[in-house]
Amino acid sequence: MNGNTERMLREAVHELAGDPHQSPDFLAGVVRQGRRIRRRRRVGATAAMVVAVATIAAPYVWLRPDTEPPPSTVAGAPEESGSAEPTAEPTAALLPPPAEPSPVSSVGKDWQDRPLVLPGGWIALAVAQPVISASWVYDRAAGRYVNLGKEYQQVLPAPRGSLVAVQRTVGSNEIGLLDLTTREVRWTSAVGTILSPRWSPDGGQLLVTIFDKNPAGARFGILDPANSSFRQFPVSNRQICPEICRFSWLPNGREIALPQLAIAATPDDKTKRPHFQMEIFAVDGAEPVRVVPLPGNVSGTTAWSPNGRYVALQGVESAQLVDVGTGKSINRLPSADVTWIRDDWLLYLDSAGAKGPAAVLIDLKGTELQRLPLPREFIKAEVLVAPN
Amino acid sequence: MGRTSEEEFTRFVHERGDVLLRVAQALAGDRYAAEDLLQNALAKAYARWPRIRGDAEPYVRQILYHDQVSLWRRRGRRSEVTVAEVPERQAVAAGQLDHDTAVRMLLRDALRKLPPRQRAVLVLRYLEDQTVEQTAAMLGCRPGTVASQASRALAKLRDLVPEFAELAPGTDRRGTPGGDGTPGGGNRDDPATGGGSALLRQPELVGRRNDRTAATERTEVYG
Repeated sequence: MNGNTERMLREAVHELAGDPHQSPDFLAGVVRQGRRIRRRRRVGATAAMVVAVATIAAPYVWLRPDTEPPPSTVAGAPEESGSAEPTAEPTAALLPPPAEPSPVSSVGKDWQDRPLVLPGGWIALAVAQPVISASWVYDRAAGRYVNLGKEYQQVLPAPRGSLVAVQRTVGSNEIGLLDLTTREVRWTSAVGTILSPRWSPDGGQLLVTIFDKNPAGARFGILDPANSSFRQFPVSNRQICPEICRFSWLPNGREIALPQLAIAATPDDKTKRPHFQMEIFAVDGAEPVRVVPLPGNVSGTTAWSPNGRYVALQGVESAQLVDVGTGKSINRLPSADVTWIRDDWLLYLDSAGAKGPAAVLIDLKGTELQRLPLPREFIKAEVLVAPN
Repeated sequence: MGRTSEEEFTRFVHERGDVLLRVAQALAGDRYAAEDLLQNALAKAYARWPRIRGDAEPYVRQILYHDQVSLWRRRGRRSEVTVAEVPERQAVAAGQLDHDTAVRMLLRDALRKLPPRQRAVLVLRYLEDQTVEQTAAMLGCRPGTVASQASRALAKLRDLVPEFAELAPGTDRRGTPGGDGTPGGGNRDDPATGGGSALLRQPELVGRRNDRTAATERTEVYG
């Protein structure tokens, strides 16, 4: 195709697009349809939750975490909702008394020059800012943050060492390993869309989610920096993901979880109803080793408490703290996208607050213990945190 | 959804609705189908607004393309848009328009006759100026599939509009040798099919900076 035909085709496509404007009642129609979708989801998932809560008692021994927590992302503000949620259990007798967190310094404009200590004592390890296309990674050797500029949309430092998983474009078909000491990048590509890189708790392997549409399906890939191997495991089932199809490590570092919204007949009802579950895979196999029912969607590795007793998850209407042993909801939480700092403290990033972004430390009741206002670079940013 | 979220969503539709409607119209081929397509996409965005508010536009675009292509797939046949008006071939014959304008109008109508997936490829490449890789990511297919779909689209356009084929010097009705009409093979000189672009480049040599395609993290991928 020469320049003339390309120009002609381009103009024709633009003409086909035209210059349309919304009709006056367009927005009202959108909102009506959107509300119908929300109602359908709530009705289906609420019915399923009753069943899932009764059967959750998943032995936690399978999910026991390592003693040292991995770096973890904190992001996302709570969903605004005033609608009903399953009644939370009284908590006073169950929960340990909260201790006072140490005071943290306010964050100045020169925050990149030293480790940014968050409420609870952990530090920000990386900040990826999609709005202004910028990212910073904490260089342990230099004791300050390295500005990676606009080069990468995705940055994920390993829990140990100098490697950072990077993507120039979220959803591209390649993933890079940037060595902070040499600034060299080793790229690995796959057929399909690579998303959601996650380091294993020991930092030895990188897990990625890979999507295909022809035929539709998902795989998980394990990238081993030590020998540059990239193994991929297609997943055969065709359940629906509750929010984002995203594989994540279980805290034990040996298994991988895929949250799902399964549609199957419940034991006491012939009708098909959706319910949340997690399909668990061994790190070296595409066939699931078991399925764990849950009363909501677990955001990732760090949603499990260090002592294995609780898990934070996104229920139908709100974030919930759930007792793993009983499957009962203990409390509502302001966010399900949390990082457990210790057995009674959780950290989340409130990026939609009226006073700007903030790192917020809460206890098991969801009570705010400490709030640290953050600079504007943290607005809608994905922040990776790690022990100091 | 809380009042703040409702207000944010309303503002988003007011600010970006017309731009998205333009894409939908190019995809769907006519105004009414475009509004249906966009309404479905925005309704899904509304239902998930608290979680996607920061990346709403890529999310909606992804749904637009996905719905357009998957609707076609579910129907199990190539759906070609029917148009109420007779194509402007009579006007061309009457010499009422200059040659380029006439060809462009014929092309516009021919675009409506393409299968949705092929049309989606051309919309992404020529309306949204996306690279082959970005187009593949948006449509959830391989870059090679984008190239072959574009190649078939161009071949069909040349069939439907002979005047368009004649614009390319030294080509027959099937296009340049070794390029169009070869399933899975893109013409290396043809930007629509990825030739001369980054299709075969080494990742290490790529220095591009693309718009975020976070909406590729979609739900219902298995559905």
